[in-house]
Amino acid sequence: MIMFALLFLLTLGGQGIAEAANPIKIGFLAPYVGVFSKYGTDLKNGFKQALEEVNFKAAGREILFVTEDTEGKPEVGLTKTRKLVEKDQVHVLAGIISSGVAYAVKDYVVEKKTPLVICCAGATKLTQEDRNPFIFRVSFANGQQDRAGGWYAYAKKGYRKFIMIGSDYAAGHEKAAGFIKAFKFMGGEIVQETYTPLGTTDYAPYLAKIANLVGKADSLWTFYAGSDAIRFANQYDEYGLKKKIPIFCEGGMLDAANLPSQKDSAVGMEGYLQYFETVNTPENKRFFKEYREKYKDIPGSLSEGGYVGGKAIVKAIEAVKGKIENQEAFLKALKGVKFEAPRGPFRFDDHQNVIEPVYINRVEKKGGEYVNVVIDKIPDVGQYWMPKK
Amino acid sequence: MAFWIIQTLNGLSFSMLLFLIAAGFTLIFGLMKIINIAHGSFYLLSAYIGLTILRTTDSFLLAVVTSSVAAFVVGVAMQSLFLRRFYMKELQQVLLTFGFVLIIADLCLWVWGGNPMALPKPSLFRGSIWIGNVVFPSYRLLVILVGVIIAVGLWIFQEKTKFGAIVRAGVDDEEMLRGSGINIQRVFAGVFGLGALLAGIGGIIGGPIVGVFPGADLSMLLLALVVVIIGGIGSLKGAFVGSLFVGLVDNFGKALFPELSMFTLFAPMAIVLAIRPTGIFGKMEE
Amino acid sequence: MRTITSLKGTSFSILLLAALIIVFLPFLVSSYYVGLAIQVFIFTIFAMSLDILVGHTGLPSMGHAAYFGVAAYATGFLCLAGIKNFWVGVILGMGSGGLTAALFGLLAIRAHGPYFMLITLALSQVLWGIAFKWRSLTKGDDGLPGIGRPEIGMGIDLKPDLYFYYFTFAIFLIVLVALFVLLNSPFGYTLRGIRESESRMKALGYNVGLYKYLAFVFAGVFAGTSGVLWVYYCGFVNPSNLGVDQSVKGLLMLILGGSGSFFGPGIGAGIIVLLENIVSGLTERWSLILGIIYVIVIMFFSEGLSSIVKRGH
Repeated sequence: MIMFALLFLLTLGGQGIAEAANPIKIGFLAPYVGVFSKYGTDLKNGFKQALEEVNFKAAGREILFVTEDTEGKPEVGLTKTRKLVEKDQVHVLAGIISSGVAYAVKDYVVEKKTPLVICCAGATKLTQEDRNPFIFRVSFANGQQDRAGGWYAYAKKGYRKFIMIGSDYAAGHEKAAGFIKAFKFMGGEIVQETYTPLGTTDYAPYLAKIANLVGKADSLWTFYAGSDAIRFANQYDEYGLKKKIPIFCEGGMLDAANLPSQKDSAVGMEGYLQYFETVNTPENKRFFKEYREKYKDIPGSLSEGGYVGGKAIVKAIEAVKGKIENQEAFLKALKGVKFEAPRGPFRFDDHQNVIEPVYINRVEKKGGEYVNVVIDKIPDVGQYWMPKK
Repeated sequence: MAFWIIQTLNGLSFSMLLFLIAAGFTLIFGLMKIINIAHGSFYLLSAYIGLTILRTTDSFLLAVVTSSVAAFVVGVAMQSLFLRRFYMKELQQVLLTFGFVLIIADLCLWVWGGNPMALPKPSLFRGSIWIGNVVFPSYRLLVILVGVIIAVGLWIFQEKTKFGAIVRAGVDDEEMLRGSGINIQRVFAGVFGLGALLAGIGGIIGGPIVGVFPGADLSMLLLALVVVIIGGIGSLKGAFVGSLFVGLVDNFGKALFPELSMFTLFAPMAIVLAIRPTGIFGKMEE
Repeated sequence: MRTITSLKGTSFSILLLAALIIVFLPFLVSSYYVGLAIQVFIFTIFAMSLDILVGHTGLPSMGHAAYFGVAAYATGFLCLAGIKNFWVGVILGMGSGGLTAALFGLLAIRAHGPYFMLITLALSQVLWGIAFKWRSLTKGDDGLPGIGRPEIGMGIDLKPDLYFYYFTFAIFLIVLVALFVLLNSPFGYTLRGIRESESRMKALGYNVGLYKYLAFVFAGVFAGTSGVLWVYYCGFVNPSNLGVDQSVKGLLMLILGGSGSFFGPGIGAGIIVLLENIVSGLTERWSLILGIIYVIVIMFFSEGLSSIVKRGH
C-alpha cells in the first residue's frame, strides 16, 4: 500500500521537472528493444547528429530532445506517443520505424494536432489515402524506390524473369507490389512470389524452392531487414545460389548495418535504395565523416533518414523564426523545406512525402572492408513515380 | 530427387537444433515441474558469449566449451539461489523465470547491442557438398551429427547411469525420491544446470544458422513449447520424436505450402492439445 | 474475501478517499495521467478476472490473455464493420471471452498444477499463432488500427479521454460489484474450498469439475470485458494482446498486489502500469530494472501465494 502511494507521489513529482525557459521540444519514437533495435539506434543517432550540428538551437531557441522506446510494438508506440504529447508536451514528433506503430499513432497525432515527421516507416497510406497536413515523411513510401528499381532491372540490367521473396508483412507486400508493377509494365515476368514470416530462422526450405528454378529465372528480388537480412544473405550464399541466380534486391538488405555480419556472402549482390554510405555528394562525405567520428559506426540508411528528418525540422523552425507555436506557419514552412541532404537534394512532394534519388549498388570488398559501391542513380523519384517505356 | 533429399536434411538439421532446446526444457519440467520461461535466455546468452569468444580467438571448440559452461553455471545459480526457495510453488518459480528473462535479455542488449549477428562457422565446416545440382552446407550435417550424438548420450545417461535413474525416478514419482534420502536439491540443481547446458549448446551450435539477436530467446522458447507439447511433457524420447516431427513438418510445410507456414507449427500442437494433452509420449501426474 | 459488513471502519474510509481521488483526478493531474488511470482500471478488471482462477479457485492459468485478446479482436472487427454501439460490442466481447474459456476449459480442467499451467499457456499460444499468421483476417503483426470510441447513445461522445475516463470508471464499478457479489456468494465459498482442498470438497459431495469449469468461464467473461474496454481505449488490436507477455503480466499483478484479496488486483495493476510507463521514461535500461524488481518482489513478498497452487493430493 505504502509502495503504491510512494510511486504515485513520485510520478506526480516528475511533472515539474521539464519546464525550463520554454525550449522547443521534439519527441522521438524508435524501437530500442527487439529485432529492429539497431535500426532504432541508427535512426536516433542520425537525428541527433542534425541537432548537434546546430548545437541544439534553432532561431535562437533551445531544442530539447526526448526519446521513447516503441519496442516496435504498435500498442507501446501509442502509449509512448501519448506520454510525449500529454506529459512532455512536445511540439513535434519524429522517428518511427515500424509501419504498424505509424498506423497506430496516426489518428491520435492528428486529433492532438501534433506534427509528425516519419523518418522511416514506409506504410503507403500515410502519405496517400490517409494523408494529412500533420504527417510528413522523409524516408520513402513503400514501392517508391521499388518501382524505380523494377524499371532499372528491366531497362538497364536486362533482366526479364524475376523470383520474388520477402518478409511477410505490410512493408514486404507493398514493396514487392511496387517492383512488380514497374517490372511488368516494362514487359517483364514474375516467375514465383513467396513471403516468409518475420524472424524466420531457417530459410532452407525456401532456398530449395529457388534452387529448383535455376535456369528459369534471371534474378532474385528480396526484401529483408534486421536479423532476417543477415540470415538470408548468409544462407543464400551457403547454398551456392548466389552464383546461380544473382540478387537484385531492395537495398535495405545490404545496409551498412548488416554488411559486417554478412561479410563475403553479400559480395556481388546488387540492389537499390535511396541512400548508401558511399553516395558521392559533398554533403554525404561530410556527414559520413562526422557520423563515423562521433558514433564509431558507419551510417546506414536509417542513420541518414534520421538525420534528414532532424534537419528538415530545424530548417522549418528557422524559417518561422522559432515560433513553432504558430502551427499553420510551421506546417507550411516544413512542407516547403529544401536543402542538400547526404543522399542528394531534398524536398517534399504535395502530399508531404519525400522526393529523392534512388541509387543502384553493388557490394564489394575493399581493403578488408565490405562496402556498398554506388554504380548508378535515378534522380527525382517521388511516391507516384512510374517508368516510361 | 535432390529436392527431397535436401529438404529432408534441412528438416533434420532444424530438428536437431530443436531437440537441444526442447530436451533441456522437458527435463526441467519433467523433474521439477517448472515451466522455465527463461529457457530461451540460455540460448541467447550462450550464443552471445560464443560470438565474443569466436571473434577474439577464432576457436570454435573454445567457444562451445565456454558458452556451455556459462549456461550451466547460470542455470545452476538460477535454481539453487532463487528457484529453490519456492520448492513446490510452481507459480512463483515460473514468474521468477520471467523476471530473469527480462534481466538476461536486457543485459545482453546492453553488452552486445541490438544489432542482429551471425556466428561464424568453424573453419572445417565452412564449405558445402554437392547433392544433385545444388550445394548443401556441410555445417548443417555437423548439426545433425551433434544432435544425434547428444541424443544418444542423453539416452545413455538416462537409462544407464545412476544419476539418470534418480532423475527417472523423480520424474515418475517425486515423493518417492524425496523419501529415499538422496539430496534432492543437488539433483534439481544438477538437472536444471543440465537443461541450461543443452540450451547453451543449442545456442552455440545454432548460432551460425539462426544467428543471435534480441528476441531470439522468446522465439526459441516458443519452438521448445511446441515440441514438448507434441512430443510429450517430461519425456526425452518425446522431445526427440517431437523435434523430428516439428522440424520436418515445418520444413516441408514451408517448402510445399508457404502460405500456411505458421500453421504447420501450431496446427499439430492444437490437435495434440485437443486429443491427447500430454503429448505422444508424455504422462500426466494424477 | 470480506463480506459487506466487515467493510466498515478503516477499509471503508480508504474506499471513500480512493473514490474521491478518482472522481477528481482529471482536475488534479495532466491528461497523461488520466490516460494511465484508464489503463489501471482496465487492467484491474483483467487482474480481478484472473484472480477468480488464481486466488479463489487455486488454478494458476497462464493463458489468460487469450480471452482478453479474443474479445478485443471480436469488438475490433465489429467496430471496423461499422457497428459502434457499445452494448452490442461488450456483449460480443464478453461472450467471445466466455466462449473461448468454455472451449479451453474443457481441455484444461483435466490437468492440475504445472500441467494446467503448461496447457493453458500452449492453448493461448495457438490463438496467438493464428492471429499472427492469418493476415487476411487479422493483418497479422501489423494489427488492426482505426477502431474508434464506441457510441453509448444519450448524446455522450466518448472521443475525449476525459469522458472515456469516467465511462471506464463506471464500467469498472459495475464489474467490481458483480465480482464482489459473485465471490461472496456460496459459489465463491465453494471455489475457495476447492482451492484449500479439492479432495475434501469432493468428499463433501461437490461436483468439483463443474465448479472449476464455471470459474473458468466466468474468468473468461470478465477478462473479455477488459479486452473490450482496452480496444476501445487504444483504438487498435494486435496479436500481442493474446500473447504470453500479457498473460504473465496479469500473474505478476496478482503477485505484487496480493491475490485472493479485494484490493490486491487493483494495487498490482496500478503498480505495473505506473512502473512500466515511468521507468521507461527514466532510463534505457528499464527492462532490466523491471526484471530486477519482479525478482525481488517475488523473492520477498510472495508468501501469500503459497496455498494457491495445488498438486492434486
